[in-house]
Amino acid sequence: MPNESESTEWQEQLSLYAFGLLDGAQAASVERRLTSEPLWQAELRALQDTLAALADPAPVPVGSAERLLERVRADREQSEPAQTPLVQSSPVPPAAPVAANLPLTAPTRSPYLGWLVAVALVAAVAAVLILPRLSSTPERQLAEYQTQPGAVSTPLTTQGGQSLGTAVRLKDGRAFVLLVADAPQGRAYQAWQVVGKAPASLGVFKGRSFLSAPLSGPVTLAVSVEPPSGSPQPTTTPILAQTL
Amino acid sequence: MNRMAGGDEAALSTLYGRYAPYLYGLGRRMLRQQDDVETCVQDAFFNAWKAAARFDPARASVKTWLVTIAHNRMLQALRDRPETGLDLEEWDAPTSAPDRIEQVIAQRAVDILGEPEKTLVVLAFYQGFSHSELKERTGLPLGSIKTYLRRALAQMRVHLETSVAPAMSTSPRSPNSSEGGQHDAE
Repeated sequence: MPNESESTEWQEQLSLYAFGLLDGAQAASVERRLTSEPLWQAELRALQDTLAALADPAPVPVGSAERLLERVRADREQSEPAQTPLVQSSPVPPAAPVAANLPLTAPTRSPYLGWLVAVALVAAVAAVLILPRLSSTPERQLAEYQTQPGAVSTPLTTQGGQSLGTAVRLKDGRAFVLLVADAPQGRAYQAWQVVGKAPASLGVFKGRSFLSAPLSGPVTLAVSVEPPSGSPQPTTTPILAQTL
Repeated sequence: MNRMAGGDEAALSTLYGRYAPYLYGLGRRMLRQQDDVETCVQDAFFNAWKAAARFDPARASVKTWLVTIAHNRMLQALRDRPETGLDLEEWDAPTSAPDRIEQVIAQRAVDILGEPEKTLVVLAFYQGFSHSELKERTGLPLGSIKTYLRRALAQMRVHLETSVAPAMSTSPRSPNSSEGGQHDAE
């Protein structure tokens, strides 16, 4: 059992954690201890409930619920074109929300389905093997993304105005980033999304460009130079941090 | 939450009706610009919709989970426009929020605090100041800030635990009746 002084110190750490005031390493240390001490998990939950209670109710604008549902439906429709009958026949199950909208009965088999599948497979193979070569240079990829409907390009610069590269936010929330220079020898670029006070890794990327998964709303992206295997948290000052 | 994780829009609507008032209230405190509040609340519910399958009722109530998502999103919005935010002197100003018992309780939870605890809570929670920024802003040592914040949370917790029960009996339509995770499995 910890003595009173240790207990007070731990409670202070837990309070700071609830407020989101610990840095990545400190927060990780708290989380490690919490996993083995259920009583403190309950204590943390009580602290978080206390902070959540500081959200006092206010009027909700008329039509806001409908706007949310429209957004959800638009997002669903955007992901549905990939969920064609050909995809349904693949061994990979669709995501649960999409599956909920799919018909439960199998579609009637067309006599031409075999040919259609064959053509589609050839097209898919071509897409996998040939298209990447056609658009193999990151500059060409950048140009392609920039011309997509709804894409927004943002120049990336240092505070002194020196160009670092270009970022493109796509309509579906993905972000493509192309940097002007390679990472230093023996090092790699690692992308981060700044969420709250802590950067969350988006992964290490080879070369000078990366394409993120769809990200919701305005996001702050950062890039730092890390070991080739990446780091749990940035170990160098990010070369850029840009809100897209 | 299970229904929402399965893509049930009606479940999302129910959740929105129940908890959106709290997120708008939080947004008004933190952002004060209605357009930004609307954007952040919409983003919070949209993110919750996408992440519903990962919700763990053992770790947080639905309300706490949603408030945490919205709080993080609003802090990001504040950082995107650092020149604005909630001025401390505005904290005590009355708002146009409806006269609901939960609103009174939430405000009193901060109002019961003395100084510097109240200032620290407002700066840390509503304005997202970091530990070092709190030190810079208040001139207090880091160790003292830790102590004051722990005390503030403890005082507010006791206040809320002793206030909510009587308030609930006078407010049968209180959204706080959903606290404690009773609706987590919905």
